[in-house]
Amino acid sequence: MSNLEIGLICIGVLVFLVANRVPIGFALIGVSFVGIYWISGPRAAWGTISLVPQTFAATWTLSSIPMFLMMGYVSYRAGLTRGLFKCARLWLSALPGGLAVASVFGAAGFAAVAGSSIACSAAMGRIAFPEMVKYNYDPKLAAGTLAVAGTLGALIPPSILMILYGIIAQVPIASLFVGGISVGLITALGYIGLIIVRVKLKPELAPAVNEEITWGMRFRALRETIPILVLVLGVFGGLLAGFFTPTEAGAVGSVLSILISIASRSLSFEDLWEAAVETLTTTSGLFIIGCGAALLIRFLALSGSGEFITNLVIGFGSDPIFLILGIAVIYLVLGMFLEPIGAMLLTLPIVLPIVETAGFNLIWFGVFLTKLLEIGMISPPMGMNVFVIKGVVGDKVSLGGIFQGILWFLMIDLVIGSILVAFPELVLIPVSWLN
Amino acid sequence: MIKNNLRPGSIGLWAAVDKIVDLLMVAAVIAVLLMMSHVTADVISRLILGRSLPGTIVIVSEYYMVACAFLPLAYTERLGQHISMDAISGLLPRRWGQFQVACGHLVTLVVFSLLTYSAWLTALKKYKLGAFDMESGLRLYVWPSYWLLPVGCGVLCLFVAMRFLQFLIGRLPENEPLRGDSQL
Repeated sequence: MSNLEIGLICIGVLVFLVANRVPIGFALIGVSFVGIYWISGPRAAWGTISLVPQTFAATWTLSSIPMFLMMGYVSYRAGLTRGLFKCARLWLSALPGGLAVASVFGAAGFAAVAGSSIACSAAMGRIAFPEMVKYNYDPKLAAGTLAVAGTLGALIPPSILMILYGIIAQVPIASLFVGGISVGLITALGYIGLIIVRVKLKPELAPAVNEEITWGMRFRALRETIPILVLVLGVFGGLLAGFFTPTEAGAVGSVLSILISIASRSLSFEDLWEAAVETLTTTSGLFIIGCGAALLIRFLALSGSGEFITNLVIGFGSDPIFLILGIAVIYLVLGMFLEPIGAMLLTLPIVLPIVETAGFNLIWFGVFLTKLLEIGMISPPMGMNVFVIKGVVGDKVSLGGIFQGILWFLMIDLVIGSILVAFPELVLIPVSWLN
Repeated sequence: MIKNNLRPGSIGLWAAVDKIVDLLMVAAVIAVLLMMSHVTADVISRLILGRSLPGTIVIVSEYYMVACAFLPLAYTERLGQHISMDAISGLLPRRWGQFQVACGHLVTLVVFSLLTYSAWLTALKKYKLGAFDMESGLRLYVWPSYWLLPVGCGVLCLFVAMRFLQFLIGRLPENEPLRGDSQL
């Protein structure tokens, strides 16, 4: 049997195992080991498996992942977001759907301290949903807004998805972050525009909040955003001033978030413990997939099946636009069933060479991919953000109801995705400022 | 948090395995807290004293990172938070679901036995060599960090073996969490 045939058989087995709920990381490691053993014999297989996991985890740049996670979870446990939403709400109450708009703003702010969208949805959902229900907002609109606003968490830096992509694709993480800011802001504006238009057309979705809001109240509320502002300014200011590197920023941020939370008396010992445990379960779940992906990359190179698939795909489509549309459709479908980091690590070893051969800019692709994967976070049937929001809203909205609330936002997201393909400059120009 | 995880029906040996899983998590929590303090201390030392703490990069990557990545493996498995695809399982017949549980346990057991065994051999080799890294003229021993991987993987093996046994004799805890419940 040729190496290529062995490669394709192993990819088939991998798909079968993943489809049958074997954890992605475990399946990747097992299949890659068997494949390498089959092609190159026991020495190579044992050599690879004894080398890769330790070297993958013992990487200085990857240490930013647990650290940024820690910063996000501590901020979440300490409720540092509360002031942010309250302030946005007072300043934006005059807008149609002001509370919903405020929660998008709040999520965008929290995204600057959290690296993933689930933390972002959970943090905002807990605070903003009860408020919107109190003022008779349509629960579907309220829950839908919160689920989609969470996706800003992975787009606006820090972003765990982008750090991992940057390391695998070997592109600078800072550039990905700058591209992420651009797309994150465009996305936030898109959501806000949609909310305003929908509420204008159908005012009963979000009745105006009839309460007296003075300028004094607004300015006092600004004061409550100080903790999170200090955190964001401390981390990004220090980064821009060159006090520390992006890898160190997460550690400084988590220490800062703990100090700020203790100073504002909002963090108990239990909260800190919970935040650390959440950080670690997420980290270990993620790293074992990372080890698997690193092994798969070696196996694909060895069997030549990666190259075969690349040539096959490139041979099919002469036009790169069709290629990128094809890739987009694949990720949108994958996103319906897979958690985004799993989907990314599982597929990058195959997709990255294709994208590179077709001549796409890898920084642009990283940002575009993050956007696609985040759309998966809100698509039925497996939108993780939707489940998080469902946990917050309880019986007030059904799962189907939340997905209905998301439908409009999903269309905006698809439009934004197409704009990114049509105008890659939206990512590339801000990135060029960085240089 | 820890005390809730002792399941009803898990007695003797099984309770001991549960305890070890908890202990590894405690060690990992200590590692993550040390990592953030150590890196921050390094940044502060650079800003104030104009020089880095020696060996930070080696200690962070070789010790804290390896501990954070592999010691919580079994704890994460117990919470059902290792990322997997869950979408269609609800639509499948019960028998197929049972096949999946068995298949998942078996693959996990085989993969992590392989990892434990190879990591064990590597750790022994590094120990005999007295492996170290050099950073700015400083000699830092790294061989102890190579034991973290076999320990983390070995305990996961033990835990999954226990679960598999419970499954085979039909005593899997009813409140076993669903997979795919990731926090990301």
